[in-house]
Amino acid sequence: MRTIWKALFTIVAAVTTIAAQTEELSSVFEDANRLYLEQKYDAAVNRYESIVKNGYESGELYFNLGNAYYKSGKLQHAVLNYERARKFIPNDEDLAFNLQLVNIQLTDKIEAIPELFIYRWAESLLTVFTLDTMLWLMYTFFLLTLGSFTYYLFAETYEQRRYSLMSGMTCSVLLIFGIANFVVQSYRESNTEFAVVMTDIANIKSAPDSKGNDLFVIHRGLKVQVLDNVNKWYKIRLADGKVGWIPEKEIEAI
Amino acid sequence: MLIAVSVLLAQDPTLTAGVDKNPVAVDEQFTLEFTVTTTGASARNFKTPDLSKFLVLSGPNQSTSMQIINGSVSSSQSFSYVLQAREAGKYTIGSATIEVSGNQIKSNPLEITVTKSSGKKQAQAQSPQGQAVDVGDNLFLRATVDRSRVYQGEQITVTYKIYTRARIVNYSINKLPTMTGFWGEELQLPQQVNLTNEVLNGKQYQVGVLKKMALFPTQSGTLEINPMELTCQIQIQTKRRSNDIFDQFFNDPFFGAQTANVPLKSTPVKITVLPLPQNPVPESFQGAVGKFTLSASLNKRRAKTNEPISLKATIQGAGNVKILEAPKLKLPTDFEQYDPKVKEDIERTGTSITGTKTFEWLIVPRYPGEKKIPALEFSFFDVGQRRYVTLRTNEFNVLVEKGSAEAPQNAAGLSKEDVRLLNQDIRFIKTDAGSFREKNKELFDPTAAVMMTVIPFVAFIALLFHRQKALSEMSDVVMFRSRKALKIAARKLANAKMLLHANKSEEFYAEVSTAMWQYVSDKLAIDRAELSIENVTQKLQEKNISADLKQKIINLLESCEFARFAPGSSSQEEKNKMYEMASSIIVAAERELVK
Repeated sequence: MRTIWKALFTIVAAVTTIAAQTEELSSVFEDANRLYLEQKYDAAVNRYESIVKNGYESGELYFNLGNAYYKSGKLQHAVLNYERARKFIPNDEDLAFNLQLVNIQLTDKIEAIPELFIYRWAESLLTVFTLDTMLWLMYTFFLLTLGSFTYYLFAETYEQRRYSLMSGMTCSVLLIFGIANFVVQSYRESNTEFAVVMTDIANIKSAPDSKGNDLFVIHRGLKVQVLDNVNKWYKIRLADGKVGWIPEKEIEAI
Repeated sequence: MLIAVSVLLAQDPTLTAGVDKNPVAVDEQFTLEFTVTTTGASARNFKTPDLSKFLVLSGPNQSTSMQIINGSVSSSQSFSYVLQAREAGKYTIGSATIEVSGNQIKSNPLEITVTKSSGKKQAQAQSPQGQAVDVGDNLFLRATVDRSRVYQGEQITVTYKIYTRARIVNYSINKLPTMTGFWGEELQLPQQVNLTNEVLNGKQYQVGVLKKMALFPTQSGTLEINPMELTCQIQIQTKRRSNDIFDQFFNDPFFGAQTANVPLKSTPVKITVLPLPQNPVPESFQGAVGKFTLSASLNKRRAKTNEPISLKATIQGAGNVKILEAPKLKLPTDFEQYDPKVKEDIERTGTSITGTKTFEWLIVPRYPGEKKIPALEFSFFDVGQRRYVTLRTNEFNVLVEKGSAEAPQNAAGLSKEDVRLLNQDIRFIKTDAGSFREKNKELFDPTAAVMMTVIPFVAFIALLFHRQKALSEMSDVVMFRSRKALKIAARKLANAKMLLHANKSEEFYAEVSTAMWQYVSDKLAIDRAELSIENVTQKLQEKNISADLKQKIINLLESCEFARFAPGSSSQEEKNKMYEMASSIIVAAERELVK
């Protein structure tokens, strides 16, 4: 019982602080939006960044930050923030459009290894909801399942029993799918890390050593997958499958 | 019948072989002709017989003619050769074959007799043309090389000289020397062959340089320069039988010389090619041998991004200029570099090949800043010093300024769709702040998880247990009813008491009555439909309870029934008494019936 009270108290406390914080953050956000509208892009960037520095983030924030960076000509930062926004609002149409527009202006045009259509479908199915949304959906389905079965137990008429059983089954199937999706997605998220090249030009080495051979060259704004991290060097992989090492300071994780 | 045969004959294709003269003399020219006659059908795949015994001067020369005789078309095709016999004897020219509408037809073999000399004289030149002449060492062809031991890639000059003590009227080259393992470049000679005097083995010769080649061995080992063959027409003195003054006079070349054709062949020359020293070979060595100089220039030192700069490197010198390769240009990665444009200018006069080779690179700086174009390096093997020489240009510093828009550089790799997209602006910012989340907050909040899963689940399980217990109790319906009986009765009596105080006698009696009847029904397990005083009395008999209680129950049930149907007759006191009675009976029954 005490744990429940404790939990409740934490939630209430959190909700009140969040409400207060949100109020403050929203005003900063709107301030930044105003600067953007006045075409003071650098100032807008600073305002948006101040929210991030305070330890808060949202899809809209990263999207706007990406826009402001784009307008001030820092394409690599635009890519980075759009990619970050994608974690929150993966299916946002504006975001997809802007990201595409930035990507065609990058120096590197890397042909991704074509994927089988089944993978693409699975991919889009997997990223319909963000992990956060998925978690709450799972809670909801769980409660619905319990509720349905409870109702079933105390139902008096045959009809009631039938419908409650059916809804309970449906909810549990959805719950199982939700869990599977969540597990796969969170596994992927924790195992695949992406980063964006921040320097204008980066020499990719064959080994985590500045004396290593240059394998190839990539340019700012390119999204790469991070495979390994050794002595301030990242092992990266490009969309076309090329692998090499890059100094830590030249890229930034999404 | 006759017509059919003639048509058949006309259609039969034939291939005939013939020569314009037989016998022929050694070195005399004659014509060999193969003629195929067909009607309509075309002939193809003509195969010549072996003519290796003769010198083929020209041919096969093809000619076609067509004839229409009495409405039938016949065409003839001829293949002719101009041949020259080499040696006297009897030769057979084998059959030539040709395919006419799928059938292979053969020509007749020919026998040719070659005599030592024919007595025939040609009209226009009163000379024993074709006469075999023993020239001895008065006429020969020599191939000389300036050196016979060279390094791979080093130049050798081969000179073909004709030595003669006779008067040469004309010469024609039959076979040019072939040189495998060399890269050759012919050196230019004056159009007219200049004759000089030279004394060789005590004899004075007139010497003419026919051909001069610069050779560069491309492989090491012993290489051979194959001989050159030519036919030389010389004027000869013929011994006349008569000492006729006129004959002597007409012997003068001016009046029509007597000439003879002399075949000449140079001797093959062997060259020993040494491989280049193996160590230390400079890194930039790419096979250049000779003596060279290197220079480089840059067309501008200040440029804007995406503005091309031209870097020019010139290699000049003597040696195998033609096979020189471009020095490696190792640009910093922020430059875009294209393959160099190569221009060469080779000088072929003189004794060695000299020239310049220019490489021009177009380089495009992509990013602004102070950039360095590294030095170009070029190595060659200096034959004179017998060692490798490495040449190096200066480094160039280029100041790259930020140019105008970057878009054009990318336009190349874009699709039409992309270009259309490029002209658009990004979509506007989000005006709604959305919900902020704490950064790096663990997504999986354990408190929330417990709240949302464990607690409801525990509650569900508890509920399940509770229900299970209820169910098992319910399975004994009698027991359930009996246990519930008191509760219901108590509730109904409490209600009755309220009605009593409210002075609602009708409702009061109904409540007490139902309470009693229901209690009895539940306790004695009598179906509601079968409830009656008789039934209750009978059931009570079976129960092990006191007769007094039995009587009291029956009395109360009876008075309840009575009072319900005549409510007005009873006073408040009576009602109170009845309530007390009902309560005491239930308490007593509860005590006695629960066993």
